[in-house]
Amino acid sequence: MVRGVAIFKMAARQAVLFDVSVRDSAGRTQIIPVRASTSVSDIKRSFSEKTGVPLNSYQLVFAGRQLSDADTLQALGVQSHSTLFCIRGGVKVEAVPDISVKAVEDKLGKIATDDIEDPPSSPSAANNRFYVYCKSVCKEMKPGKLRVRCASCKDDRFTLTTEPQGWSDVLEKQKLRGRCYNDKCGGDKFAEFYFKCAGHTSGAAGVRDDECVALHMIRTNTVDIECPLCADEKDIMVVFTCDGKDGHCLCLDCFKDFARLALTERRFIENAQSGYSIQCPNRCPDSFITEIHHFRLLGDELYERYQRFGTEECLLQMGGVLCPQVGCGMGMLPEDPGNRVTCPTCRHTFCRNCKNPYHRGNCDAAPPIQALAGTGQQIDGERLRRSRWDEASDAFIRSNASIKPCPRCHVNIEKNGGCMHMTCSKCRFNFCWICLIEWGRRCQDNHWFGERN
Amino acid sequence: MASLHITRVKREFREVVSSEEAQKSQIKIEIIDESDLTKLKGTVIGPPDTPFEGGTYILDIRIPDTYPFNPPKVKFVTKIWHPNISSVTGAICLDILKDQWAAAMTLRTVLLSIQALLQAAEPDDPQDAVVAKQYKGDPELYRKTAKHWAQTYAGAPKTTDDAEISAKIDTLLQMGITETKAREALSTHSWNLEAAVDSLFT
Repeated sequence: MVRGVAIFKMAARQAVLFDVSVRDSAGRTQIIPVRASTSVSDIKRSFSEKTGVPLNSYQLVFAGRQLSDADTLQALGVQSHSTLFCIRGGVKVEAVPDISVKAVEDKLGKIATDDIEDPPSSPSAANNRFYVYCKSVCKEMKPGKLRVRCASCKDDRFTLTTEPQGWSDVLEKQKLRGRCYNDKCGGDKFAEFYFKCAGHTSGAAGVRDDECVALHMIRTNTVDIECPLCADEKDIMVVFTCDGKDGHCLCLDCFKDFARLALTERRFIENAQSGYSIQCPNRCPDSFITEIHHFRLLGDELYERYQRFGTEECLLQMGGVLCPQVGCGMGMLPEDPGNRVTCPTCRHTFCRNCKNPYHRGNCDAAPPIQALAGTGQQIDGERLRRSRWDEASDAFIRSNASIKPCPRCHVNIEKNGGCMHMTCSKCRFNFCWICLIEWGRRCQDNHWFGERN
Repeated sequence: MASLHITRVKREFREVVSSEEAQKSQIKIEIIDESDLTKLKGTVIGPPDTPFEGGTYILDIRIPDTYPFNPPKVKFVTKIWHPNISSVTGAICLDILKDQWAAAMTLRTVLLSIQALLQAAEPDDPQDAVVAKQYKGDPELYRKTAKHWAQTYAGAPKTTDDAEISAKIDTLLQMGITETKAREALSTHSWNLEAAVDSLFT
């Protein structure tokens, strides 16, 4: 019964008329109504009828592949509003490998099973889509389409000579080669892959510049793997590259929770390779989220926060400072090595070390923040209230024995248990809570747990 | 965040119960209160060829609501003499319970790691200072003290004659010192009665 419905639906889909474009070498485009079952020779016939170009004088190219006359659009994975490109030449060029974009897309969408002895057969090849983040139209994660063009002249009239075996072939620049059919460029050139969103049609919304970023770590769960965090078998997984190949994974929902919490607790790690990122759930070395668009999936607000934190972290690692003034937070890289820093935005002058208003001498002797009241100056109520609140908060921090500033970056740190070995949550400095110096042998021997002298 | 931490605890509870180690009675996990799965009682057995052999060590396990993204809080309830565990508070210094925690770890791996810590102490890492000094300076005395603690607090089988130790503790008891305090003072001062008395009365 169910099967019958599926077949009926498939037949209905094949019968639907849609448009594809055929573009000739001069950039002229013809729109041709087709069905999924339409063959390449049918399209060529329509194109020749409309334009008068002799049928035997050209071939069609789609996504890096020269098309055979017998291919149907469905077999090629050509969808509504796709563009096919004309290249000159009467016969199909020999010795061009038959590369199926659909098969490559399928491979990219799956979790590599080389290491799995008995991988379950994938239920339906059509589901093994890879995903992109569609920035321009859909503004969310969508199934992706893989396209290829010449790396030199960016012309789509290009055929691949080697089939991509996985994401590294697709994402790394200057890896695979192909043949460019642009008269001004032409010949053996490097291929450049790009991605489009399968969730909307390019022509429809009048959008041209709608290339997408591939979310290459997001895959279809073709191997029936359980998420190690929630133990559920979910359809979509985030797969980390551990030890150079597909490694530990977690489901998309847990990835979002994981990233959301790590961001809120500021536990992302700034590293040279991946930038501001999070590590594989098994903490494999060098296994990070390497494409930051994966964090787009957290939503606009958190992604904005991610970008801000990432910029701040990068600046701090370069030796920069952030303005401590409430509502400012401007980042700067002061050239003057001294402690006196003036914010170029709000003109607030503060001490580089303790972030209090600028003072002379030792930071410990810095006067507490002064209240504005009693100066006889006109100040608005809101500011006064805030200054009182600031003062109260400052007094609380100074009087609370469980809060101390990090000896290196001076951010206030609360100790809510455990031993005296502290790690600053901001700058990762390891220090002793009692001595406020770098954690070392002396403190380990004397008061690691703090209960003895 | 839904209640992922509760889902995980339920699953990991089953994982521990059905594990090979549990069958061999090496580790155990118990629910204290059915209505609050964030507080658990763990047990590890002292591994063979260690001073802790045959001892039963009870652990207090607290699951934060951000589990498994953050580590569980674990400490020893049973008193133990070990370089990496506080002899006073039971706090454990183990990297996976702090910044080396990974979300893919489970309560089973935590219990096994703690058992491994009993097997191989790491005196060069942060530690209980007094125990670590003894461990490095006088390994024989360390073994003797750790064994005595295991027999006293963890119910390890009595294999050695503790007459001398008992006599020293008795002496302090007669001075009005509690047994726990007496044992701690003597252990801390290499079972030197005079030094222990000094530390208790100054």
